[in-house]
Amino acid sequence: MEPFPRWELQDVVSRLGHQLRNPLATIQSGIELAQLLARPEGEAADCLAGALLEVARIDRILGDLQRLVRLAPGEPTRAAIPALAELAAARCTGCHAEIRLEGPEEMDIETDAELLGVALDELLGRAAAVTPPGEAASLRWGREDAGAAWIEVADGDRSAGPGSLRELLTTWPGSGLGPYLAERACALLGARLEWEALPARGHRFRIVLLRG
Amino acid sequence: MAEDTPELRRTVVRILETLGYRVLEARDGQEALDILMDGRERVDLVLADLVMPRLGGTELLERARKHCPDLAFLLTSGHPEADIARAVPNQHRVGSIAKPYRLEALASRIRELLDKRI
Repeated sequence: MEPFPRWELQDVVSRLGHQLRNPLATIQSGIELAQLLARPEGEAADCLAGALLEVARIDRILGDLQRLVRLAPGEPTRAAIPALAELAAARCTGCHAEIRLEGPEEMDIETDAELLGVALDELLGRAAAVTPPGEAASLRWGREDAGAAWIEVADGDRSAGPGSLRELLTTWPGSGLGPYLAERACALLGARLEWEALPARGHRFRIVLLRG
Repeated sequence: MAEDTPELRRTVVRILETLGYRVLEARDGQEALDILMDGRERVDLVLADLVMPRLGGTELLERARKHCPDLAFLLTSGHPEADIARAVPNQHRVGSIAKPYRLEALASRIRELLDKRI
């Protein structure tokens, strides 16, 4: 049997996502209606809030799956890193942690901005989610001595411990496909994704863009 | 509200009523268009699914706007946000929201579109 052609896989995943989001929307609206009408307290309130979080998690995994099958290299163009960083930070809605941006005000590189945006969204979204409220996740950028551009995302996850990048990308509990998506986007960009765990301080991800 | 999933339609209608809105229900775009053309009810905003039997959300928008050019539209879908944005015409008082939407986000998009009178 022939393997799934790419377009067919994209189509199946797109239809699957669409079909699952209708019942998800019904479950979510039902929970919110119950909250609105019954105004539950204590354990009942916690149960409903927990159920809403699970709906959001399923929605995120569906979205990740749809983004993953669509990832494809595009044409490189001149892209301003500070603007991409600001956009990624602006897309981190609903996060409690502060996001600090730091780097040269002007830094243009030749890259596929869409793919780089996917990697930044996933890494920064995850960093903001695991950083405790009141602390900051950061997004920094610059150039190595040899001229290669780098972008670094750091979180404040105190549970950070030793492990391999592969392990982090594939088994991180509750993170959906986000880190794996970031890695795939970097691979398609021809970029290197480095990772470092700083025990009791957090993680640092560095994308090194070999071109540009 | 034009939505072909009955459970979702009923729940969202009830939510919007609890928030103080008077809501008319339609099982698809054609039924929504019939209500609008009938003219017996004043409608300020249409919340419609993009994909529905008989008449989808964008076709409903196109036909309804011929008669009520200022009618506000909030289009929704289970497709990814970027796909919805591409499918929704960039017109005055037309917005979009992806399913599953949170009550707070829905209420705020509706308020925003209703307030955008000019």
